[in-house]
This record gives sequence, structure tokens and C-alpha cells, in this order.
Amino acid sequence: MKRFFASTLAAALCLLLAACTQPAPTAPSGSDSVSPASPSSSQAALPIPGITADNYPRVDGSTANLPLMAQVYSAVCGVPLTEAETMVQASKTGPAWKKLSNQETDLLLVYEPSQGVQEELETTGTELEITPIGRDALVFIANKANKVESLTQQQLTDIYTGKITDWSAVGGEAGPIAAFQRDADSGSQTLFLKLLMQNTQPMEAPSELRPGMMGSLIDGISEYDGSGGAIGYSVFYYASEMYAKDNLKLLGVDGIQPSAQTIGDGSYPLTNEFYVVIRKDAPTDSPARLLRDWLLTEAGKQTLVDAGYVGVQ
Amino acid sequence: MPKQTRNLALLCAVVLLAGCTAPLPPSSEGGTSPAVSQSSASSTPASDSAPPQPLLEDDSTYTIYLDSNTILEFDSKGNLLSSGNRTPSSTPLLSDGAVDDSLLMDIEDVLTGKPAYKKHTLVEATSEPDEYGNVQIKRTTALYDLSGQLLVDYGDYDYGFALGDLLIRKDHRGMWVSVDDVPADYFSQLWNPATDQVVQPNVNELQPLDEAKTQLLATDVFGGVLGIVDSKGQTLLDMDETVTYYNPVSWNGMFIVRDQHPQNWEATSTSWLLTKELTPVVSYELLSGGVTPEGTPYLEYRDEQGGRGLLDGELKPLFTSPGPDSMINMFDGELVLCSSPLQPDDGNHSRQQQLLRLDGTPVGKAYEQIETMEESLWDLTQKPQQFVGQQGELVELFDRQGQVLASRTIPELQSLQVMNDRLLRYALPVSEYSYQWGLLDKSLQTVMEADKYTNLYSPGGRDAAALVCGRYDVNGNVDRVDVFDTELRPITTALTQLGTVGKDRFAAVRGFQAGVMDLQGNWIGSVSIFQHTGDETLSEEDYF
Repeated sequence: MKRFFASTLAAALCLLLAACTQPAPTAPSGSDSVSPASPSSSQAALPIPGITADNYPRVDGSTANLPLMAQVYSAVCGVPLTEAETMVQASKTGPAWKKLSNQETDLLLVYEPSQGVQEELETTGTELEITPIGRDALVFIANKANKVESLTQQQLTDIYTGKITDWSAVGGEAGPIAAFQRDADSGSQTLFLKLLMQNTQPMEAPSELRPGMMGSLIDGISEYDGSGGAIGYSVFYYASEMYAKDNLKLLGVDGIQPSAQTIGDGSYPLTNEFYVVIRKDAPTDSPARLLRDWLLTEAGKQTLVDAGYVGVQ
Repeated sequence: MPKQTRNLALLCAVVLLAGCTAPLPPSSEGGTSPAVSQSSASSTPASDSAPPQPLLEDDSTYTIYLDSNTILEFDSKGNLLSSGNRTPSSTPLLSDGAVDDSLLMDIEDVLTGKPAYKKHTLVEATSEPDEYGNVQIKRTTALYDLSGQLLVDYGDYDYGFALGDLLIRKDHRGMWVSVDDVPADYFSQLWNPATDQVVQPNVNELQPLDEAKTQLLATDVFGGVLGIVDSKGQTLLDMDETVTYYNPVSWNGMFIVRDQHPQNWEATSTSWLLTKELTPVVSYELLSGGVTPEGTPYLEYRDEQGGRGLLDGELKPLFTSPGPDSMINMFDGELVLCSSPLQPDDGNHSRQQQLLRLDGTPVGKAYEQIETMEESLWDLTQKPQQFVGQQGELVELFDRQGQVLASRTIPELQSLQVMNDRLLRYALPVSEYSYQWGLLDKSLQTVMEADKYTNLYSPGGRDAAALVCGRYDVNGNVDRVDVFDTELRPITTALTQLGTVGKDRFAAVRGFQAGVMDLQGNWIGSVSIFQHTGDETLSEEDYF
């Protein structure tokens, strides 16, 4: 797995970026006399030679990257963001990697695949260029009423193994800790096990502390018991951008508060990257390669930041 | 109530409540942040100037799939009722709270149509697989009165319709793929829960014979006619368990039955018309009331030579089909739509349709297919005035006299269907296996070219308030749906999903919002899809 990623990343990082010149702004295709009005082209398209709405590459990826896909489409094709949101689609992480390998799509904005998918990709013989483009993080969420502001990784591990069961043991007011988890097959649970627990088995969570969806987890922590005694986890982008709640806060880890700055510079400890990916055989002038190259320019990186993500520094 | 169950119920309720949004004001332009949180969500309707119209009273539930794992249910105002596989809890009925009340089912009274009892069924795997290694399922059912009082604890019974205070009590092994799988010792009976007495044995279904429902036809598990009972379950006629007729279908105050036991399907059989007194009136190889609306006095028959025809309400011959392989597709009281093989002995292959008068004279030409243009396909009080015929690339509109009103040839025409009384959809090939759809108006002029939409339909049929057009966009990477009103005015574009369609609103996913939209394309109420999509920054191979 690591060899696979290391080799492709090395190849990817050697690529030089294409220069940007004047594009031909083009409205989205597909209007006819009886079709609903096309989105107004009130937003000027960015200059990416060789890419128009008519040949825009087939972009796919993780659900968490849908807003980024929309921001990029809006910027490149010059359509309002709200309309661009209707033009993007995510097959979710595992299927997206497979579809790119099978030539069903052209470019991914995507998180790391599971080990099973990585092994499957290696058997296909399809070579990919995988370039880190942004960084997300596992973050821990608590009620704002909770006086605890930061926990160490060891304290978090102890909470999730049941060694620590009361907030007073970690500097908070006395009271039981309700430690939310996610389903074993959810993405954030995988991240939780990979980045924090590593080889340590977490305790069994009762079903009421193991909601099926991430939004439900955040709701659950927000509303739990009215005592502020709950803790849970999510990914930074989701918790801060996609489904933020006013009465919740993100806890620091090892004294580092999660933020765009600390995640970007790597000082926050529990980070995870996401990637832009194309097939290695994508021609030099293909829209997929042109768009990938543009995403690695300052303008492209700014688009990522504009969408609320943390870029790789 | 166990603490864990209570906590879970509380959490679910909190989550459900937290998921609800107040109806959003219509917005002409989204202006959302790149990532939409629920609190800042706003809609992006396509019709940016259309004001919201007053909405009809509507207590329907609007359902939509976010993905294969996630179903959202909204009320008609777009307030989220439930998400995922959960269903909204109803008022707790059982005092101890130990039973999931979402699984409670009403038992309807066949006399009143109102709930008379409730039942709750548990489904569990037995410890022993069957001979093929398949998991065996056992169903046990408990019976409650309407107040939630337990009448019969979980046991080997199931319960069908009620008849006043009485109930049809059945064997719990009531699910099978084929009628051949009915257990030999299966039982059903009309039963009195108050006295635990069997009022009538073998009764599996009861079918009212009259409007007043003073007489009911009783049938067994095979649809065999047992006899007639009154509203108290007492025998009025022939409950001697000697079954001769099966599968009764009511027709014009009488019954069409067959004399073939369903498990003996290879035997020759005859259809009989019986009076309410179960007296045979007439018999044919096959009798059916299906070519005309239910309750209308026409009967189709097939004789032993394969000839088909129609009988009137007095069972007098009305029409005889032109050949033994001809089939009657529709009869509106005057005209008969027949289909016949193009070549003799061609069976069901290569057929053509022809409108005929009762005396057998043709109305217009024969076509590969004929459809009525108006909505009154089955309404005998408003006979169809215009028909559309398709023969290859030729499309013609003609009247009841067979006079052609409009005619047009559409090169490469693959398919043609009437959408409503003003529009027809047609398909042209894009490749060997794919088509694009367009629209013709009543004069057969093109009002939408077949060059964009790969799918085009009216949810709800000819009366639908919206026309749905599916297409691929962004170089085939995304499939999206555009919605038009019945006048072909655009309502909204680029829906990711379309759910329940009501009279003046529909459930939709557009961009990063999901909710209920009105027919101007304004969100009535919506939520962010990200609140309800399972996160998957890292995927599990088979999960996402």
C-alpha cells in the first residue's frame, strides 16, 4: 500500500505546472428552446486554456469534496456557485477510485482509499498520478459548556478505552463522559482508528452513542443530556463547514487547537490528506491533466481555500 | 421501559427534531457558502422570478432517496420527518413501551373500512436452516384492541380482516412464493376473540356482495368459494365446505369464477358466471370483465376455438373478434380496439391494432399501435374522440370516424406514447441501445426535440402536474432531471433526485439541498444534504 502511494506521489510531485493563459469562457451546454433557463454567466470564467464547459473533465471523488468540486467548476466554467453545485457528483471514495481506474471518470478530488481498494487498484495495472492537494483532520467535539479545552492523545485514548470515565480526570467538572462513536464501517470511525487508536481497541459503544450518520452524531453531542458531558469526533471540514453547531466547540489535541493554520502547517497532530488524481496516461493537453495542473497553481490553491478547505503547505 | 431503550428513543427524538427546519422563504438566488450548513441553507430555484403560489392542503409524506442508504421523509411543508431507515414514531400505544409501535398494524373491519384491532408481528430467524441452508423465518403475532390492551400474546396465529367483533384468524405460515407451497395443514377461520369460538371454518377472505354489506362471499386460502355469510358471520348460503369454484371476481352484481383449483393448474378449466346465489348463468373457456371499467356491463369471453367476443349486461352477443388469434384490448361502449397477428398462425408476434365498430367494420387504418389521445380512456360517459396510430415512422391522429386529422413521418422513430391530452413523447435512437426523447403536440408538431433527454415521463400518469426529463450533463458525468409543468414551462433544472410528486409540490434534491419544492421551483422547505449523508472521507470498501 505504502509503496503504491509513495511511487505515485513521487511521480506526481515531479510534475511541473502549466502556465495559464486566456480561456474561451463558455456557458454550460445543453440549453434548447424549451429547456429551463441556463444559469446566468454572471461569474467570469478563470483562464485555463483548453478547458471549457463542453470538454470539462469528468470529475468525481469523495462526498466531503463536493463543495470543492462545485467551487472549481464555478471558477473554471464561470457559472454561479449555486448552479455549479448542481453540476457535480461524487461516487464516494472507494467507487470513485475504481471508476477512475476503469476510465469511467477523468479526475478525482478524493480522500485516501481503503487498503482493500488500494490492493484492488494495484491489480488493474492502471497507473495513477496522485498529488496531495488539501488536508483534513480528525477533530474532537464537545459542548461549549464543557470547561475542558484540550486533551492529549493519551487522554483521548483512555476515554475511548474506558479507562477515563469522568470529566474531572481530565480537568473538567465532575460528571460522566458520554463518548460517542460512529459505526465501524463509517469513514470517520476509520480515521479515528487509524489516527488516534492505532492498535488499541476502543470500548464497545452502546447504540445510543453510536449514531448512523455524522450529522446525527453532531446533533447527539449538541443535545446530549443537557449536561455538556458528551464528546465525539468528526472531520474538521465537516464539523466546521458542512454542519457546524453554535453550541459545540472543537477540542484541542496535545494543546493544539484545530484550525486551517494548524492543520495546514501540520502542528495539529491528527491530520489526513486528500488528493487530486488523474491517470498517468492522460495526454498532456487533456482537460483532466490541464485541470489537475491548474489546481496546483496559486489560483487553483486559492479556489480550494475559497471553498473552505485547508491547502497543503 | 428499559433505560437503554428510553435513552435511544430520546436521542432519536432529539435528532429528528434537530433535523427539522422551518419552511424557508423562497429564494431567487442561492448565494450559499461553498459548504452549506443547515442554518444557512437557501434554495436555488430555476425560476428566479416566480412568486410562490398558495399551496393546497396536503397531509402527504414526501419521500426521497439521498443515496442507496439514506431515505428522507418530509411533510408537505418541507419539514424533515425522518432520515435513514428510521420511521417517525407515532403516539405510543402500548403502556409498557416494550414494543416498537412503528411495527403495529391496524386490522381493518371489512364492514366499515375502519380499524377494529391492532396486531404486532415479530419476525425472527429460527435456529435451524432449511434443507438448502437458507435461514428459516418465523413470524409470531400479538393481537391488541384499539386501546392497546393485549388480547392474545405472541403465538402461531396471524390475523386478517375483522368482521365487526369477529376476526379472520390464520395460520402464521402465511407467506409463500407459489400456491404450491401452501402447507397441507394450513388453516384459517372466522373467529370470535371474545369467546374463542370458531364461527366459520376455513374462511380466509370475505368479499362484500352489496353496498350495504349485509352479505359477504367467503373464500378459503385457495380462493375457493365457501359460501355466503351475513354481517354477523352466520351462514346464509352453502357453507358446506364443498368447494367447486375459485377466484371469484365481482362483475355486474354477479361473480366470474373458475372451476380449476390453483394447485391443479395443468387441468382444463372453465370460467363461470354465477349469480349472488351461486347459481351458474353462463360458462366459457375464459370470461373477463377486464377490457372495460370495473362495474360496466360488458363481458369478454374466449370460446374453445379461441374466438373472442363481447357480451352485454344481459349476456347477449355484442361483438365477435375478426379471427381466433385476435385479442380485445379496449371497448368504450361503441368502438373495440383489437389486436391481431400480421400473419396467420403468428401467435403473439408482429401484431397490429385496429379500431372496429360492433358490426366489425373498421375505423381508420390498422397500425402497429393505437392509443387514445384524451384522458378518458376508460370513461364510457366521455368516449375518446381522437386516437393516435403509429406504423413504423408514420404517426397519425384520427377521429372516431377514422378521418385523419394530422399525419407526420418521423425518421428513425422508435417509440411513441401519449403523455396527456396535449402531448406525445417520441424516441429516436442515439446508439443501438440508447434513445433520446422529445415531445409532439396534438397537431404532431415538435415542441421538444429528441436531442437531449434520455428519459421523459409524467409521474402519476396523464393527470400529473409535472413532466420530468432526465439527461446527462458535464460530458455524461452526471445525470440530472429537469422538471416542466404541463404547459412545458420550466419549473426547475438539474435535480439530482426527484422523489414523491404531489398535486402542487414534489420532493427533490438539487445541488446541496433536499426538501420539498413548489411548482414555481421554490423550496417550500429544505435541509442540507450533508446533514444526512454518511461521511466517507475514508471509505470502507463495500460500504460507500
